Amino acid sequence: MTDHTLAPPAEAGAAHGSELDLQLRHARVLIVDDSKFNRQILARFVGWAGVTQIEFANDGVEGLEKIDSFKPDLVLADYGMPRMGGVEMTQKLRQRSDMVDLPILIQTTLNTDQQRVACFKAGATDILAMPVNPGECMARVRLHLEKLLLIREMKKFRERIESELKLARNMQMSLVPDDRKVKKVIEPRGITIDYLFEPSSEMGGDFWNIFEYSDTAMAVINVDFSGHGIGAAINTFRLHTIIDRTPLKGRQPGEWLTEVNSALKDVLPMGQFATAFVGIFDTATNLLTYAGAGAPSPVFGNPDGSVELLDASGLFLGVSKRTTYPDRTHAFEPGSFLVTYSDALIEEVTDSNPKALEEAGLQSWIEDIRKAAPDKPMRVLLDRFFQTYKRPPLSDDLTCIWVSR
Amino acid sequence: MDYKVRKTDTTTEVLLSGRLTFTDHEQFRSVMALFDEPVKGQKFVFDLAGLEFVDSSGLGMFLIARDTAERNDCQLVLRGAHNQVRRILDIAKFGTIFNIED
Repeated sequence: MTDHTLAPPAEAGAAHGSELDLQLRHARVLIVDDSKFNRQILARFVGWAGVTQIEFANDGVEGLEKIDSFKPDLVLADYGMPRMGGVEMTQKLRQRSDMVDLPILIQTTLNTDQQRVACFKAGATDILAMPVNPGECMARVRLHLEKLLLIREMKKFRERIESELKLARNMQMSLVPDDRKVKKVIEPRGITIDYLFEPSSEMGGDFWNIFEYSDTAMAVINVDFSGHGIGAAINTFRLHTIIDRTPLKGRQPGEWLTEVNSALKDVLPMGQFATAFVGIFDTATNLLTYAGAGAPSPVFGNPDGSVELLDASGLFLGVSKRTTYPDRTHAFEPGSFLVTYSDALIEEVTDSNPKALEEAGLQSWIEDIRKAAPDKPMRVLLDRFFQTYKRPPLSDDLTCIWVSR
Repeated sequence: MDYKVRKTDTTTEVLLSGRLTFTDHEQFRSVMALFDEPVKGQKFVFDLAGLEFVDSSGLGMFLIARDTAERNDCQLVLRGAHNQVRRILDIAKFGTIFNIED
């Protein structure tokens, strides 16, 4: 072995000062070797690589004993040692689920293929050829420690984002009504409602709500912001705030939508907007009064069995401050139903089914369902949709609301 | 989505084809780069004859183009939409804020 008592090779030395070097200083390396001389040499190289916390073991048995007390971030083990060599020690470590990612480097004197294969088969991360070259040893130790630190960093980042998204998702779910609220509005009015609210990822840009409008009437709002994901979800919170201070009660839907649009236009960045449907279902006057802002055409079932598309056209919310939205009306006799939905239902395509359903297709599906008159028509509709296209997660947020009387 | 550009002294025509959706945002940015050197009074035409499908995100890109065109005193036309594209332009009442030509 050459004399390595002097200085580290310049090009392989630690570049001091970086964030990673700081972390390397806190990294822990366990050196397992039966030769005192080798332990000292390796410790020197590892030290040159920037590591300050180094522990030693004389063989595999002692190495295993020190794993839990020292908690190394990297293990350097010799191939051949009395009692237990590096290969057997590696095998034993890899049986532990918490040691799967631990970098283990084995030094092999006889650099034969057989030995290499034995090392990697046992689960070694890398091998170091003996006699150990200082530059190579430092580079490999740094490489594997850096990799481990980056993986840990990413894991931590991922865990944080996941927990934040979970919290945010719960917050978004609290914006849309739960079964209890829905029941409280529909039951006294003799209306039934079935609904699905399915963001395409943790959060989405869809929003819906139901309100008591009068003793005999209720209102349903269905809004779909452009895009999906977190950005679109933030817009649903903006909308929620605006709706909170713009009560629908006592107003006509068009007038209300006009005011909501004006407020949204002030807060939405250019290129972001929403489609909307707002309908007031009155069981005393048997009338649906509604307004639309470019929402996909609601599908309406008449008591005579016919199914038609309603006109919910209109400029998107958030495009122009001057837009006014007209009221539209349609009879809402007993035996009628209305389906309002987000565009995912008519625009979803898959590789195996590149033809989207589109409004006409949806209308024809609902005609079929109407004829079959199942107990839960929306369930039948969505089952057919999921079978024809795909099950969630879809590529866009999906909301579907089926109001029947 | 794919596009071709045809330029004359007074008019820039952008011929869009395929599907214009959420995933085309990046590519649409390069279309928008055409507005970077505006000539006052220049006419921009989005030719939609080759476009099979537009979703609401795609319509959002037209809205961004409209905003840019207005700021540069350019005229913007949506031309040749058919089928689903025509239908969604109607539902979104784009005729009230765009020049739409057959």
